[in-house]
Amino acid sequence: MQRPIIVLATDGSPGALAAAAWVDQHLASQHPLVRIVSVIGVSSFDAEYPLHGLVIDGTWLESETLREAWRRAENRAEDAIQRTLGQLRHCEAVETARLEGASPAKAILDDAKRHHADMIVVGRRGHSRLGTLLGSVSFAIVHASPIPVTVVASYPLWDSSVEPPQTVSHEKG
Amino acid sequence: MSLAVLLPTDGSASALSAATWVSRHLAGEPLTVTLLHVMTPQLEYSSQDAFVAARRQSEQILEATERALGCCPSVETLSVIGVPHEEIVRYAIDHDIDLIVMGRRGTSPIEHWIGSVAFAVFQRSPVPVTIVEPERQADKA
Repeated sequence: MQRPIIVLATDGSPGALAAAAWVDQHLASQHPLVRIVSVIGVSSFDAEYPLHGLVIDGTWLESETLREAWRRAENRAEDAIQRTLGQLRHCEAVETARLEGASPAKAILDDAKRHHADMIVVGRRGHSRLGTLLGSVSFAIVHASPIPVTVVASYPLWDSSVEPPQTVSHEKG
Repeated sequence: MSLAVLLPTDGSASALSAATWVSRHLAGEPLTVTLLHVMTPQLEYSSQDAFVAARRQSEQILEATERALGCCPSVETLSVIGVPHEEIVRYAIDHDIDLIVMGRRGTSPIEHWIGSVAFAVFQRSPVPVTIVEPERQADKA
């Protein structure tokens, strides 16, 4: 039987690592192909470095600042991938990819579609500052995905009516 | 390793397709499935007959979901009264559930949007949640 394909999106955050640990603990027995992807957010990159280059006389002049920032963004993505990889101790088939895009959710969904993924797994509460409380990236994925999406919490937003659990999934592994 | 799955159901097509998805994609490993239907408190429940009728409807919903689930060895069904997302999250925490699987939309008529219960669970659950999209899932099968 063909391996189920799981796209595991990571930004290296506790939620993303918890998601990886959960996949390793509960889905490794399905012998999946786990595709770890990390998105370099091009729009936030632009916002952070608005003057990264200029067109002068029809020639694009790129600044050293831009190249340096891009390298840092690439390193962050690679670091996230490596740390996520470290959580997958029982999965024999793993591949990794760095994605680029203005919208992380769209980049992840497009990647899942391109690789005929059976499931997307994400951590809740990623790196985006404004979206911290809502898990905006994971919600955008859940909202738009044609395939099942599993969302793994790192540190939960407690519902006042709910007692804290004795064990949280990422602490079991 | 055994996987304890909580499958909340309201009997909607979306919930039934989530059940089908569980049996199709997670059946490879030892699986215990709990089907949970949450009855929303109604004023009419103050009448015994209305409560019995609601209870019967709840049983029918659970039976329909169990049929959609098909051949899982260990299935438990449960019907509780309360606010759906609170009961779902509470049950998952109290019973060491490994995964909550839900359809994306419930019985609400608004198209193309995650159901309010699924969204509330998604926001609050410390337990991983899989949201299954019904229509496209059928295409893939």
